[in-house]
Amino acid sequence: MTDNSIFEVDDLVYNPTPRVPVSLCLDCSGSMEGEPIQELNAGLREFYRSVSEDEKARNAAEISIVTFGPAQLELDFTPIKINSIPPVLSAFGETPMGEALQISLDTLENRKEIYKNAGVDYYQPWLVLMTDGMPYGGEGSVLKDQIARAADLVNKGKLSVFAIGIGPYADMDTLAKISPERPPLKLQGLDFSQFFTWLSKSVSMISKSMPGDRVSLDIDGIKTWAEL
Amino acid sequence: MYEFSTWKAACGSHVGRSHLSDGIPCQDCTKIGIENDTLVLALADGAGSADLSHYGAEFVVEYVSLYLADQFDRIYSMVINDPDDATWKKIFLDNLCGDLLIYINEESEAGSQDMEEIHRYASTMLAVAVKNDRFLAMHLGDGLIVSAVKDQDAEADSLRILSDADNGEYANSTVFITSSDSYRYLRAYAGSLCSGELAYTGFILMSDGPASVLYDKYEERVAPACSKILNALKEYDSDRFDEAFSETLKNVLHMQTEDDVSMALAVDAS
Repeated sequence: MTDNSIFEVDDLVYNPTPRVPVSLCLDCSGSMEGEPIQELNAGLREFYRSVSEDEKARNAAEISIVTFGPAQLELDFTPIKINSIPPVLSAFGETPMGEALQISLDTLENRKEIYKNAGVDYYQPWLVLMTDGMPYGGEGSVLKDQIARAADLVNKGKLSVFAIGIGPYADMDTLAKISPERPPLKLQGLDFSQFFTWLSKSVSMISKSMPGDRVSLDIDGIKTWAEL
Repeated sequence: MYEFSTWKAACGSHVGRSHLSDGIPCQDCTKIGIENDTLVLALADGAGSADLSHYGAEFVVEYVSLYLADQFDRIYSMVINDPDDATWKKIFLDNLCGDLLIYINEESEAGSQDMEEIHRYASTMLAVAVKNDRFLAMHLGDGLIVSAVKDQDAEADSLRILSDADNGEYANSTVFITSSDSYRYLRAYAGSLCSGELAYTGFILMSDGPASVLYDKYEERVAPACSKILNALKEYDSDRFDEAFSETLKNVLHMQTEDDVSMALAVDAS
């Protein structure tokens, strides 16, 4: 404090950093076995590293990981700290995308309620959905309902979806239904690391934005990982 | 520092660290107006992504300070009768935006009045006016209006939120004067400065930058810094306060947030 200041830091209050809740909903079905799942795990490690090195993003981002087959919550919303490492994912089973979507959307809603009850501000939640095939093995009605639910949330400005297809057999039509505002993109090969690096920078941009800021995604950055 | 009857008032802004690094000017603006037996505090915070919002904020504080000085009695009556009455709010904001368009046209070399141009000047608006024994406040968008209230049985004034930030659901969203249907989000407050056992003895307007460290959202508690600054305004002479206030904005608040910092305050020094 300088001698002439009217008050000092001790006279101020602390408010938690506004949070960016990101749900990663990742296809880990049998078809991802081998190189795809290895590259996905490498991409996740890169995401964690990149976010942990950016102080603002590290303080803001809270990550959950949902995997499918089977549909399960691998990791509930957790901040990424300096030494955090992601869970190691393995490939197995079918592709119950609807059930996985339901877990992602439910946990995002729950997280928002926790923020509200704790007086913590937050940014628009993100859902990152990645798949290399068509939904299979889950209930058709669940898939239909959750697609409609996600699309409704997007249309109401309650959710931002990043839908990514992996490989030649990814069901881009279903991804398009889940993400009505932002067309799904196809990953270049198995370049998960480039995608997750871009994602971490996008999280950083959001975490620094203030009221009235129009945050535009890095289009040039998208070209490093997406087939455009 | 300004003096009006028993009241002392001051205002100031300082550019935020993120704006300095991006080469953006301070988008906050403040004004103290004294006219027509009315003291007006006005503060506006230009939208981050609106490239001319610093001009928008300047326009808003000038406009609202003249408006409240001129229309205090009429607006006071309407707000006392029905704080939610939207009719006058719509007219006020329509007229404000209409005059802003004229201003844009006069400043523009192209001489156009493209309605979309107005969004480049987007800004929030906070104002408090004091006339005789009454006060009137208006608030659109984020930022905070704090009031100091003295209970006749209490030894010291207590600080309360008169008007909280309107951020919508997300941390990076709020309402601006140029937003669609902005009148629906304009909040107005009016009352006697002294009624029964309570007396309003001060007001602080602040933009969202300082609000982030001067108001605990979870505990709904105003920081001790707010009492200190009102006391300083009351006790210091003009030169001492102006210097200390400037230093506080620059060396304390500026270091606690990356956003622009601005405050406008008034205290009854009687």
